[in-house]
Amino acid sequence: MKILSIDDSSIVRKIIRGAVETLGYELLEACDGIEGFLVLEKEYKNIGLILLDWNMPGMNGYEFLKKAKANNEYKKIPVMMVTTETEEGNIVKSIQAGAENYMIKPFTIEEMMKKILECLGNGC
Amino acid sequence: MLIMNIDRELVEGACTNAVKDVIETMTGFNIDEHYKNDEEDHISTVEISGMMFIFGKRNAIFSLSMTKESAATIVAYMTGIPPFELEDEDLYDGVAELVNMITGRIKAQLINTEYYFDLTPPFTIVGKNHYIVHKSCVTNIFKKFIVENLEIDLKVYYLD
Amino acid sequence: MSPKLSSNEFTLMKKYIEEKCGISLGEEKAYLIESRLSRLLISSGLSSFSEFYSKIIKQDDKHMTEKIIDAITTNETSWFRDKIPWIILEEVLLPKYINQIRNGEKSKIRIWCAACSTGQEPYSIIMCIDHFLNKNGIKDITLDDFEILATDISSTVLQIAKMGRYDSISIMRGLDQTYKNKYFESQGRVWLIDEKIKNAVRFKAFNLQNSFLLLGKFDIVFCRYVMIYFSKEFKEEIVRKIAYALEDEGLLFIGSSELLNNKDDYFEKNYYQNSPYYRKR
Repeated sequence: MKILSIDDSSIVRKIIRGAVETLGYELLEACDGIEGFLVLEKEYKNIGLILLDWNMPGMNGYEFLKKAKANNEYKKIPVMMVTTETEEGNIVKSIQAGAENYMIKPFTIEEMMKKILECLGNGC
Repeated sequence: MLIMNIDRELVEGACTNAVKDVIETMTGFNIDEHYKNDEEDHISTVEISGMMFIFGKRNAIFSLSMTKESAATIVAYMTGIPPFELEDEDLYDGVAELVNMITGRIKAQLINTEYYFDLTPPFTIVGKNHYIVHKSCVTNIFKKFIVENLEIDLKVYYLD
Repeated sequence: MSPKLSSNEFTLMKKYIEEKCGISLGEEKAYLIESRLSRLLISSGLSSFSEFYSKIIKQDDKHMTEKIIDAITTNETSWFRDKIPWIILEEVLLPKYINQIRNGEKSKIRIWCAACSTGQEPYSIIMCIDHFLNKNGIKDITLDDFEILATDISSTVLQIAKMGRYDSISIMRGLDQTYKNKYFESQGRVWLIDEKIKNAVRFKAFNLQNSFLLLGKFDIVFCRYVMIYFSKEFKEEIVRKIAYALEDEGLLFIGSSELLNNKDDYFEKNYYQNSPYYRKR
């Protein structure tokens, strides 16, 4: 089973890789929403979770989320937002758009592992 | 206390909390603020600066500056990758991400105040001994943080 | 229905969290409430925090209280955190315990890590004990003479702890090269702890709001960096319960930056190398 990290920061994706591989999963990466859809198209059957940044150039995370949840093939894949975005109401906005969980940066590796397991084990 | 129409205590407090929170969470380092004298105020010589513009009732630039060696140590502890395995691009991205997180934390603390803001994506300025120079009358906040032999400078330059 | 948590509802939520969960939330952590509780909001089938608050107030559900505690608290930890408890363990306590086991005064030394998070603290204890036994050529006493109970409210972090797998970021925090070389094996970026160490810790889900009676009595309790979240009243209750859960002369270790409020009723403060630890009165 694979986990897809969509974030314009390669450093954040490296940190997430540490958490994902320690849990025994494989990480796929994309640097924005557009690349995220290219990865999804090839690998959606193998992807068990998407970790999604909000503020990205090109297609941002919120736009990606809405499009993914509107797609019959991708909508079942749980999405956790991983972002610095703490704007009042944006958290609930992303939940209402279909995100199953929300993590604010900065985060410890332990928090990331815990939230990934929560999303996978308990269906978010 | 208002100086040049900035509630310095409020903004400086938010800055200090944010830097400590982000660095401690992402690296495990217990970072302390270094209380510098006024001569250190206007010029800072560093190698990598992460920057963001903020827009709100008051517009400003945030910068987070450090040497390459400090950046390598910090990014190594953020990622678990030894410094000698890190590429320059990793350091630039790491510093940009740090200023992104720190500014995000500052923003969260200033909700419901007149200092609340929107922000641009982060970017990085790179260059050995680059200077960030501003006119002496520009209102700014300058905070220096130290952990072991690492130094990090946070500056906020108000544009109006 | 507005998706925003109004300031009045936020204040009420904070109060609920404090009264029911014993967790005190400072204003600087206020924005964490929405993000930390978002998953609970969704799994409750609700679409706003105002609905969520109304539901938890009406239902007064203990299970929900546990979920809120788990969501709000931060699982930050590191190996041999603060260093001094392990120095005390090695230089003061282990020599004494070895003698007590040999003399028949004690059959087993019981140590409890309350709020063990992802396992670094209990594994640090076992590594410290094993290292001490090996360093001093002690063969008649083994890890079987020690029982380490590690508890946490979160079954998810316990799942991670039991795996005994750590990424290179966690490994860099507090673990010196001697222990890393002796007790860990690397598989790429992932580090696996020695099976002997892993098997020496018993992990169990446990809520500190519950009675400690069924856990038995302990020689040492580690309760570090968890009481920082709690209200004054709940902290005092925890301290009292820990005192009753300790054997005579039993010890309590808390975080180096923490203070105990009502300690004088139950504990005597001792110092080793200028660092405090607490002995049951």
